[in-house]
Amino acid sequence: MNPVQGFIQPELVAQVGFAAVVTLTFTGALIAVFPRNILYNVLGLIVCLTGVAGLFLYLGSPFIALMQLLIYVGAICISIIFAIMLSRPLHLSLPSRRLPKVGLALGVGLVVFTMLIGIVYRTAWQPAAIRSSDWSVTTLGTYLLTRYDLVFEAISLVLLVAILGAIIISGYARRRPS
Amino acid sequence: MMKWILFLPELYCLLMAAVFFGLAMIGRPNPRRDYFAALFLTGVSIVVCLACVRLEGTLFFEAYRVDLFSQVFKVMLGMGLFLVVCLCTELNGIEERHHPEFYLFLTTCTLAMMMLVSSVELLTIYVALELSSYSLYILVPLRRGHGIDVEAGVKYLMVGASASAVMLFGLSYIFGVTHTTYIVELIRVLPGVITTPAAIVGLVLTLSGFFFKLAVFPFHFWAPDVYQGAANQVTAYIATASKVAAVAIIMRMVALSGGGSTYLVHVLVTLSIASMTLGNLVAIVQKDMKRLLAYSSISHAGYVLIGILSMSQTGYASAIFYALAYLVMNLCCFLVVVKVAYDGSDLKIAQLAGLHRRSPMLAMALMLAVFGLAGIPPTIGFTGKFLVFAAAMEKGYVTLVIIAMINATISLYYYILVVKAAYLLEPDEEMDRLAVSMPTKLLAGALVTVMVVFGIFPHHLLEVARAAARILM
Repeated sequence: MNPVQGFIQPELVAQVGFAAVVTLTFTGALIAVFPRNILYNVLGLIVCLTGVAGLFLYLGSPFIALMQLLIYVGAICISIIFAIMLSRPLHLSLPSRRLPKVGLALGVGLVVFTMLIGIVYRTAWQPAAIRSSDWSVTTLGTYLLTRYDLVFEAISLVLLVAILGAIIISGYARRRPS
Repeated sequence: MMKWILFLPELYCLLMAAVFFGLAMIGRPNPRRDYFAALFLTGVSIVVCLACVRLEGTLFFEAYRVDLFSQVFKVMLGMGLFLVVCLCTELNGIEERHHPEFYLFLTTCTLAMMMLVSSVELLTIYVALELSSYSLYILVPLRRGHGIDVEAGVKYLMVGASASAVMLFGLSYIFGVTHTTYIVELIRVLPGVITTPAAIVGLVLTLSGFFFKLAVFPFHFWAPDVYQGAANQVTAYIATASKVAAVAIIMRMVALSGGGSTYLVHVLVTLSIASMTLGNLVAIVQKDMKRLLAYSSISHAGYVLIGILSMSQTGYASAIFYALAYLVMNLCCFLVVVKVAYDGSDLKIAQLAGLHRRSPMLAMALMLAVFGLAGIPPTIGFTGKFLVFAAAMEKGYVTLVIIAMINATISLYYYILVVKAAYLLEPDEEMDRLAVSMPTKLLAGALVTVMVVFGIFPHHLLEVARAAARILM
């Protein structure tokens, strides 16, 4: 046993870590609820969910922790911010919905829906042969970098183009004299 | 054998994109530098595509196939990109500091379409299609303007996103019925189950995503607004290269059915007739040149479908030939549009008045290109229409061919109006001669030569198209 381990108790480290993560979670939750500025609420939510990811890590499942970060912090919070950016200010009056238009949309939607349901019923679906029962992270990773390599790389290219485009178009709109 | 050689055209496109990305990061805008860099790089891309034309093989665990079919289309795409870049001498429609980005997105779009024509796996096809669409979604609102470009961009995005959703839903049906996303297996399995409703509806919904690209009725709503709203060079690209890629992928998907579904043929016949008729009738009343070309593109989508729905080797070969002919003719039209509206504005048909005195060369190029679009001999457009109709007659679709011929006659009217404006109308006020540079004259001359020579002697091109079409069978 080396002297450092003897000096700092492992349990103490664990408890301090736990306390830190829980504090992070609760602070985040409070920020998510109380401030009046909605952007602060979202930032609070990000802090809170990062704390939850820390909890998963504490419980010994790093994969779920990473997924938590990726999906909730990375995707959902960012899309909330985008939704706030793109929605019109609340004090402006909304254009009123026209009833015939809504009716028509509902009608078309209903027809398409019935058609699709009908197709599902009238087709004799064959269950696919089971190809594998091993769906561990390793297997998924292997698939992503072998069989689905090209798609995987192409998606990153799509994201690059989308980000560049967003930067150019939003910068463009801002600087344009109007 | 070195496998990465197969991927060379795409790798080269990536390299081009990286160069433009680098240029975009240099602070001071320099349009001349960007233009010459683009001209040189895209010129080399044609050489690269031509050098790779005889390669064959598969890559990425069978998801990507390089064969004569894909390579022929890659050459067309490389050519389309180069010719569009040739039109960018006065890129006044787009702010100077955005020129590198403009070339960057043109390149990524071309890269995506090259991947699209080579992919033989549905997920890869979908992602490649999205990559090309995203690039175009950004190019459309890049125009320097006052609002109409934004409207066009939003419209394009909305219709495109709906088409993608419909297509993904179709793909899910196809996967549900066949349990595979690989085209090699689909060709084996799908013809056996093509009579089940889920398979056929899945295929039609999937095709919708590509019909959007080709602006086939009822996915044509974006075309007139986007053609008018985008900068002239961007419109030229959308109208040429992106149509060629759409034709290629529609052929690959239709060939999946194995020709065993009369229902699919009925759908395609209906869409073809609707596209032709609607495009031609609405084009008659157009006053704006780009809107006119948009409606003409909708009707041409109908003609191409006639070749595809024949589902024979002759049919596919005629469609490939038609796509090439359309690429050349349309680029020639846009050459005139870009040069006459050199300040980057929209070109009204009335503004063509007196063109034959302002620039005899451009007037002649416009006349021949428009005659080609109308299908008047001896241009390549006539040969293309003839081949497409012949392929349909071989299969006994007499009514369809008659309707198409009536449509071609209707289209003659508005095409002649354009020629009349250029040759017979006198401008209200005296206009200066257009300063047409030597390279532009050479380019116009080359396009005209291609249109006439391959119109009269199509055999060599047709042989290549046949060989490429054989791979689909």
